[in-house]
Amino acid sequence: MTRITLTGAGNTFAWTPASPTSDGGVLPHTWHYAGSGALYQDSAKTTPAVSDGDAIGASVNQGSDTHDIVQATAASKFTLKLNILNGEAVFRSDGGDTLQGAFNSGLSQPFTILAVASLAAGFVNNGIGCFLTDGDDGSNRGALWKNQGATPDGWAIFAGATLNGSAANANTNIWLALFNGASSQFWHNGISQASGDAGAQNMDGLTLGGQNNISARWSGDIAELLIYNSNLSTADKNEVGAYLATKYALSWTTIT
Amino acid sequence: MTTDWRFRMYLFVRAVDATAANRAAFGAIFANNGSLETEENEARAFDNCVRLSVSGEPPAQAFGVNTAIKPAMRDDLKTFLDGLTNARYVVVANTELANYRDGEFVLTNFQDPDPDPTGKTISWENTLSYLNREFGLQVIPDEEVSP
Repeated sequence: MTRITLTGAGNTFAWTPASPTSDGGVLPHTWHYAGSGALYQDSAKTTPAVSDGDAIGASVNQGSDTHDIVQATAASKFTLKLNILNGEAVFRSDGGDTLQGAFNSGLSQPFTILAVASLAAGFVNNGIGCFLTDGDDGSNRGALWKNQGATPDGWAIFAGATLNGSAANANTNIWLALFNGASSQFWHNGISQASGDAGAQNMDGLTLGGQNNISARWSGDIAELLIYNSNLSTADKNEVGAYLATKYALSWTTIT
Repeated sequence: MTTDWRFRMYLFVRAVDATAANRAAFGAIFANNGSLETEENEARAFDNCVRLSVSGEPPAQAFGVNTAIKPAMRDDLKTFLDGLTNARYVVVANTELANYRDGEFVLTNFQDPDPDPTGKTISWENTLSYLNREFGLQVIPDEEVSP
């Protein structure tokens, strides 16, 4: 593809998107992915998680913010699964697994969250909420979730108000969510799900795989999460979306 | 390199057996066998577990935990669970092992695992079905989410 803006220079050249930061790309605020090489089996970060089946007790942020997300109970740890999605690794949740931590530097709206994840088929329309991301407390939220209140259960985002999208599915989706008050919007694979008010809350921490109070947990695979502390331009949204689509061999419809 | 977390255990205990002493014993099995976390933290496994009852409504009559385990934990957990009334477990491979495919059945104390799980991949959902057939237990949905 053509790299346009995340280089920071506004130049245009052929780009193989191996990383959003390659060729001078902008580092996101938060960046956790299962193939980062920065996962540990324990919450104290003494033993790396590198083998298929390893429990994940900590993930060190690869973005600009200095933080870890951790889990100190074995039964609530994601499992590292290798070679799952186009040869890439994933965090696998059995329905009871999370990682959680506070940001060193909080996010103010507007901010943009991207994620690659799939929900287990048995959870798609089971009437139970499933959170892919959330804040780490109840008043500073940036939630991507499956809303059990819709009929059938549907995709939604939340930062003080619920913005509902289409019916949930078991596909591996590239989420892109802009949290920007009444002008919020989210997409799956580049296709708009909904636009409108998602609330005005900011984020000062992250829960991956569950609601902030560790309920309503995700079941399925999570490959990657990126958070940018801005409303990415349309070109930038497409650039990061294309990076994820290329990496995981998924489809991406260009946002216009 | 093969993970130390070679197995996955789906285990169920009666709610009345989730006492402070048993939670501590459970936590100690993990902490003393290389979980890399404290006994206190490991004892929290029952704080966010799956709850079950015959009606599918609270109060819970049984708790279910789905967790990766190391070989030494497997043996100690088996001894611990065999000492409780009507505790049930299934152990499967947590990765590709020399004698097992990823997810393949290893051992169980369910009295009537139907179909016979030997040589088959057994999921958490399969195990919940066994539990339903044996005890009539159903999963209690999480409390309503109100973001």
